[in-house]
Amino acid sequence: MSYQSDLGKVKGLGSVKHGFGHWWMQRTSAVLLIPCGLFVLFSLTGLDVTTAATVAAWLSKPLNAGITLLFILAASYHSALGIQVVIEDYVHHHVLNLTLRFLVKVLMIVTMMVGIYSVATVLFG
Amino acid sequence: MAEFRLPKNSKILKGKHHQAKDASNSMTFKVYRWSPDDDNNPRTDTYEVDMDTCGPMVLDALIKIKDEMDSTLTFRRSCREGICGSCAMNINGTNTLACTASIKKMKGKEIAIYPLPHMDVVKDLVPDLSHFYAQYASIKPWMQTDSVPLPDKERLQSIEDREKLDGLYECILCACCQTSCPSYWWNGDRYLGPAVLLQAYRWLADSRDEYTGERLEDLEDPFKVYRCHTIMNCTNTCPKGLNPGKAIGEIKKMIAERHLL
Repeated sequence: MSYQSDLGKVKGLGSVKHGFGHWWMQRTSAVLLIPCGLFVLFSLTGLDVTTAATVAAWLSKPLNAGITLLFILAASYHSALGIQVVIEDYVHHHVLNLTLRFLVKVLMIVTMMVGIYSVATVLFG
Repeated sequence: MAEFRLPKNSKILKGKHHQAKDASNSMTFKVYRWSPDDDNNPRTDTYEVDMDTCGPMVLDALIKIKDEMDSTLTFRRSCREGICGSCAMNINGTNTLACTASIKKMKGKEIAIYPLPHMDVVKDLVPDLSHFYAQYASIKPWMQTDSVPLPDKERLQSIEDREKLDGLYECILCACCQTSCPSYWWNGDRYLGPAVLLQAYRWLADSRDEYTGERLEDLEDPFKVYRCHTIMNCTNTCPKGLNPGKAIGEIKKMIAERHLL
């Protein structure tokens, strides 16, 4: 039972005065993913991906490595932003909400680190 | 978590059947019924309405049912010409105004009528719109200015600036769009929803208002505006043919301009 007015409930804790950054980065990372994704997709479909050596040879070229790394980083970031929105939409239990959002960020960092390490190993190793 | 299933006491049961007397041309109306006065589950009552003695709109049928068949049926109505927004309800799966919904244009021989979706029900087809009205009040839907006009002058607006309000000022706040939006279903406590955001843009677009910055500052919030995922149910369902989805897009553009340019 609460005697708080409807307007009081609606105003709640007030506007957090941000949200644009998340929305904007989601869109800019999506735009970046289009050329990078197409490049990686068409490059890999032209290769014999069953042989590691063929892919490694392709990835050892700096331009290919650079665009692939950009694709991995943009995809990880974009996915994390997108999954965060889904969690905010549907998970209303506060502890679960914060935990899942934290795990998504951790997963994003891990994916980025693995991507950087893998590409660097092939490129410089 | 968001609730995807109805709780046990909200499951809709089969209700009573009301037959039309000596009707050769009848139409079946399945109407949602629930009363706070007993502990019963909601139900759908069936009414066979004689179309030879009924007006052309769904509201005419509802009034005929209330007058001649079942006086306990509860719904809101006032102007019966699509300007007050009182009779907004879900008719054959679409939120619309009962007074402008033509029975003849409905597909099939049966019309299902429910209250606006995902709102608390006061009784039968009457939803509780208190939260919606409070959200509307929260965007300060009036002209805010600091400059004081001369007492014998009006605040002038050019024809071009006035035209920017077309497609916005016609909103009658019926809540059809608001309650058709899945984002509003899941996060209606914090997301302002398409109707309120269209109204917010109506004041952002008004050349006479001097609080655009403050309004945008107040709107920029992950929940107030950015729960809109451009699903566009709002624009599809608006009985006045308005485009709340576009208005929300314009708000996002203004916020982007504020940050980037």
